[in-house]
Amino acid sequence: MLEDKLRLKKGDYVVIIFVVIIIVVLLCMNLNRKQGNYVHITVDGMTKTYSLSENEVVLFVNDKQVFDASHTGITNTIVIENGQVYMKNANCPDQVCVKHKSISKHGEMIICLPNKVFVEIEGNIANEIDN
Amino acid sequence: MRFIARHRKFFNVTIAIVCILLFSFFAIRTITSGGHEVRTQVYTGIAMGTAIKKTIYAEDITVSDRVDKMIDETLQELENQISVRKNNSEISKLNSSYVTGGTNKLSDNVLQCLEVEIQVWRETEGAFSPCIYPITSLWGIEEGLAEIPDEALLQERILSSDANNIEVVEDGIILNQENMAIDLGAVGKGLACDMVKEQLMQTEIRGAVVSIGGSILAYGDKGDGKDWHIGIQDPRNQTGEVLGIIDVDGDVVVSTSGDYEKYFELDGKRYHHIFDPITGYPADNGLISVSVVSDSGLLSDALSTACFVLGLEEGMNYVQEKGVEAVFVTSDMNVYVTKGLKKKFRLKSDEYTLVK
Ligand SMILES: [Zn+2]
Repeated sequence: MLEDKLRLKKGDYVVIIFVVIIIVVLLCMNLNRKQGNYVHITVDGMTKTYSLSENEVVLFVNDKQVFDASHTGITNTIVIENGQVYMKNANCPDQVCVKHKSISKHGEMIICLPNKVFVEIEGNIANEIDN
Repeated sequence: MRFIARHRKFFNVTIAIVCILLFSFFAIRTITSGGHEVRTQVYTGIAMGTAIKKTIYAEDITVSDRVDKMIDETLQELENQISVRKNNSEISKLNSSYVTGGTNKLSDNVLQCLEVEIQVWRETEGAFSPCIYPITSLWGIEEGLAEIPDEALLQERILSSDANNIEVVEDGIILNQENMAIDLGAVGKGLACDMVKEQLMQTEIRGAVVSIGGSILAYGDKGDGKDWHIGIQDPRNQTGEVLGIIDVDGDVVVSTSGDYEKYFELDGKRYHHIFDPITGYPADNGLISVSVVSDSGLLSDALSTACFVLGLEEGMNYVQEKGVEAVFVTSDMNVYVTKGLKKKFRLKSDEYTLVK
């Protein structure tokens, strides 16, 4: 009789599996919290942050809707695409920012020095380089 | 109680699984965060005519914010003091109003800077000059000019750029030639790194990487006990790719001088912003980039410029004499590193060959 009582029944297994699944899901949610990927864009001292997962968001930096930087006379088109960010065009004299490769890893940056535009990644893909 | 007793085994199993999961979860968290919750904060901006990037490792974000502001103030102050582009700077005032043969009082940090520069000038037999501004300003490459200056005018400027005419006296200098102009541009960013380092030592932050143009300060540690990985810019690929990575422990400055920052091209030849004080022309000794690793930012900045002018062989001898480490990149795409960096430098670009 006692052994019979201690033996796990089919219903017990169902409950155990159910509990384990819930715990694993909760833990995964906890681990993933605050790990989004963002791109910070700074123009004329103002910073705005966009999610890297928003595909094909094209920002005209001198567009009033995005940044009120029209008085600075600068134009920088920043494209966020498939988790990558690049400078599509710019009206700066050196065009260094346009030649820069796409960025996606934490800490990577594209700087347009003449226009004072900074594009910077904050994310969970580690960068091998610290500077 | 009867319920628990009846399902005792079930409860035991469930509790065991929960414990194992919780334990592994916290174990993973602790390992990945190195035991402490160290936050990385990145700040960007422009100062001293160049891009600034600060990565600050601190346990509290308000501390990082405070340190960021502190560094900005220091850089602004230094720029106001030494910039040749600000009319009111100590250096500009000296250049515009000195009297030949008269004593000019200078601040301690400017004087200390000049003394290091004069030493490098002497040791390199003139490959480096603390008063090269007459040549630099005649070419005007940083201002966007793109032509070779008049030869007679250049010869005059070469005479004015001779550091033989600088005499260091107590708390100041004497300039013994007309139309001279001191320019701390070749060491300003390295000096800034030294000043930032001093400042960081007064704070509770555990680590930081501060890039001031071509000079990079690695300070303290990341919290994981590992080396800092400092990327060296690929001198022939302007897309942000690195040539290689130098692993350094805390508290060093890596300064790089290259022909890729500001230049113009004429008849297939590149005219860049690092001048040979003796010829008055952009240095042309087969190098396209030199990086110098030193405890002193001032020295690393001065030596990277000096070695760029000296060329591979003399530059290599000179850095060994000075006891600092360096990476030389030649125009035939070969990379040479000093002995102390053999194990710490990793080539990342396959366009170049690392010479063993
Ligand atoms: Zn640009």
